[in-house]
Amino acid sequence: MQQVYLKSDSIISPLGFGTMANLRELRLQNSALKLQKPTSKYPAGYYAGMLDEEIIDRSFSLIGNCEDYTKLEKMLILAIKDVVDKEERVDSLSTGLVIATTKGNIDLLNSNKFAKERVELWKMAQVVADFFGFKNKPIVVSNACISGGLAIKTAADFIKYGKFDSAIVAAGDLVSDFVLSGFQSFQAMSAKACKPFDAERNGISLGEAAAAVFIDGQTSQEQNVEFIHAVTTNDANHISGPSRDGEGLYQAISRLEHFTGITSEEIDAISAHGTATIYNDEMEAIAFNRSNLNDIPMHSLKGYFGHALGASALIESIMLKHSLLNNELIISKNFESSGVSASLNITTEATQKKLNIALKTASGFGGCNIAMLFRKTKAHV
Amino acid sequence: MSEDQSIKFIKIKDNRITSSEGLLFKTEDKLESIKFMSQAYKFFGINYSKFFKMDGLSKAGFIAAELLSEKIQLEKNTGLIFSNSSSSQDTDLRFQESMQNFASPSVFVYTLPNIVLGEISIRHSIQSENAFFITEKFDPELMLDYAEIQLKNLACENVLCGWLNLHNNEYDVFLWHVADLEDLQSQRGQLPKIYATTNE
Repeated sequence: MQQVYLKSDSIISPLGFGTMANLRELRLQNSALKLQKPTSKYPAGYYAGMLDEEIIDRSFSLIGNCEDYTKLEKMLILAIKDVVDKEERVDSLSTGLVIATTKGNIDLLNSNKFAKERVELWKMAQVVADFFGFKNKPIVVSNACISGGLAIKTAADFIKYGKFDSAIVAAGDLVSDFVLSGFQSFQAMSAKACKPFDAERNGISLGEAAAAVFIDGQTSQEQNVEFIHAVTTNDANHISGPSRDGEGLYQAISRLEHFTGITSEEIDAISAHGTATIYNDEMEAIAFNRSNLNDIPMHSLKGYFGHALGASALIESIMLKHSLLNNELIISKNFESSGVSASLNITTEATQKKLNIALKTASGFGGCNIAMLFRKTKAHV
Repeated sequence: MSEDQSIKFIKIKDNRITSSEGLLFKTEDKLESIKFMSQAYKFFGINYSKFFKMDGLSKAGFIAAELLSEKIQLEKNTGLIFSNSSSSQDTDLRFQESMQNFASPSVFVYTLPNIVLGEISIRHSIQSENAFFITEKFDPELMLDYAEIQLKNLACENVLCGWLNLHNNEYDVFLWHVADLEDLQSQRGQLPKIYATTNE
């Protein structure tokens, strides 16, 4: 079976533009989550990671006309541009484009600034593809909060089976009034910056961001991270609540281990979903416990970026890739004492440790789960 | 019976529900999506209380899967590979409206296109691969390509594919079953024709 690799990547978030800028902020324990100004709807304000469009435009004006693109399109294009500039192998004919998002340009629903069609996810993706002149029709993945991971799986699967030579996977979502109202109606928003797996966690914080990664079927001289395999499952239990026994996530992890022959003992690090809702984190803890992954160093990055919905699993996979390359465990921000029933090895101190294989998981509305394995390959010198 | 009739499908469009075997149900008047699906639900004598809280997209997908499940076995290892053009826009607009007064959590949960995969999974105890793609038009090759890889990877044993679109109250539903790899290869090229056929 052909191998596929995660090559150049980029993250566009309130913490910075480019993966290195974001990684630097994570190492400094800085968070994108800030208390936003009170509004009539949110009299106490709310914590979220917000990216000012003026700041986006400062960068975007160097490569395009800011008026022609929506905020999210500009974020996606900036992330992809950063990747394209570093990758000679990106080819407008043979490189595929896979875009993950849950709500896309949902902020246009009440606006006349752009043609009505622009709120359609396929249209947004086409606008982004056209910016770069990609000839393949972009593939849009919209599968709730596993979208960013499922987009990596989709691209990797299509490369392994010869549909593309390589692919750019991009993902993005905004903190819109739409999703804010939605999560508030669920009473799922944390009053403080979210605290994944902590005893005092009390809900999510939203964050807007975009990211991109080049997925390639060809290895290169330098050290790479390989995408090994991914499995998705459905809880078949509830459309908005995680299953109490973590069965869906447990099944995803155990099937993934079965297919790859990789055992729990061989996994060196885990990037969990860790949204910081009471039920999600508990469900994950039970699933990891059932998978004998209690002792594996684990983090959630939601305390840095917030929950970027369809982009979160891509951002977190990119960070996990850099953890592997740098042999570095990233601190799970805002975790102080465990608030889940199973013991987990949550990273609370920046640690240098030899890392080879890492697991990324995510779960979302509709009962979906994804588990993905990445492995560091040796440099070919 | 022509060869392409071997594909097990359910099509719901223009007040009609058809299958590989012909017309199953129709209404004389053009009804809005939710009303049509409710009439179909009654007509087929389905008894599933969760149906009533579903949004339009899920109701349509649920009924199509329900009717298909009489002909084929939906099971734990059935992959669900769906797509549409308008995502969850029908419900997005409803939620946007509700935001002015009382933002409803039970509406918000349906503002994602893949929720219907959860509804179908719950009903038929399916715990396998899920994917929801957005394409401008019906693109069976994308779904078949992805389904082929999942079958080759043994990620699932068979696949329920679906085009499930709801836009401006126009519903366009086409679900079909892929029994195995051989079945999948025989379906290539046939699906656009079957999808486009005005059913007798």
